Amino acid sequence: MRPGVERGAWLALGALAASLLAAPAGLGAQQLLVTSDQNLQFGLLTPGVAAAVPATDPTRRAQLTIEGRGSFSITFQLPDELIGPGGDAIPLLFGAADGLLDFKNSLTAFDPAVGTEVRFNPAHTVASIYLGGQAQPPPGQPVGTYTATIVMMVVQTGN
Amino acid sequence: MMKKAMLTALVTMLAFPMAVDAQNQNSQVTATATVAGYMDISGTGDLPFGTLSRATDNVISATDGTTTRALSFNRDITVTFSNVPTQLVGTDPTNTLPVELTCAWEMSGTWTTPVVCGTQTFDLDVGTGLTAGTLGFGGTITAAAASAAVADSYSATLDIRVDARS
Repeated sequence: MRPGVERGAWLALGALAASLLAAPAGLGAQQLLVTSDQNLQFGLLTPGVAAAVPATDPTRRAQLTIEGRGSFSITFQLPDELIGPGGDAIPLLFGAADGLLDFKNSLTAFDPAVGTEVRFNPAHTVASIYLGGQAQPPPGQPVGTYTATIVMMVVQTGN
Repeated sequence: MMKKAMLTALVTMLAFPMAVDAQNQNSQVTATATVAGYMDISGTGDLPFGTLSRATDNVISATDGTTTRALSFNRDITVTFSNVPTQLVGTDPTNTLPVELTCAWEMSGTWTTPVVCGTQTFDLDVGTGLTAGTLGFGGTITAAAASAAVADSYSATLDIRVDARS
């Protein structure tokens, strides 16, 4: 191989290697990274008074981040109730607009009971998911702290 | 020669992208809420001694339901009384009429024994949910006190306070 050609080949390889290293940070060899950033916080409830957290409330909504390459479906396992001391429960409702997809600088509402989809491209590899909801403590609700777990499932549907 | 071999290896690696399996991941967040203590006292109505007898003591039982206040609460509470009058005052403030006010409370249909309100403290424990209770008020104006009083309309007020117990 002539020295000039060889040098050019090495330079091309170097550029390719550099572009590979410049792939979205955090993904590594994976195509998907999901993180939970914030819990859904209803705060202090009064018995008999329903309390809603809108998905647009930045301080109390649940927030998760998805970083990936390809297409993904996003679904949820939504709890029916918050469980408190002694097994007492507070009914929990998720409305048709309680999901919010923040992707490509745009917000799109969705029904968390149905889920949503996202298709990443090289210029947009990160999306945020916001969740709101409504807690409905009945008049006789005992004092205490109540919790429930919301599971978000992200499944790749295409490259 | 060695450079050529390395170059070939690199080109080979780049020419055959790694196969990547479809990716699935679950993540979870927690929904949280704290239920605050709830206490309510409601009801109206005075303690109606009416026209007093000078022959017999004028007694209203705190447990007969004549004058009550309803309580509802979802945590243990303490009920206290303040400014409990020992005498009623006439429309002419110089006229007074001695009285002894009594209080009692009821839950699930069972009344406590009435006691002089004074510095009494009632501790009511919450049930399994929002719990209802009743405060009852009564009192005595003796025949002697009625006999000694001038004709007037007498009244006084006591204050009821409900606090949560930790």
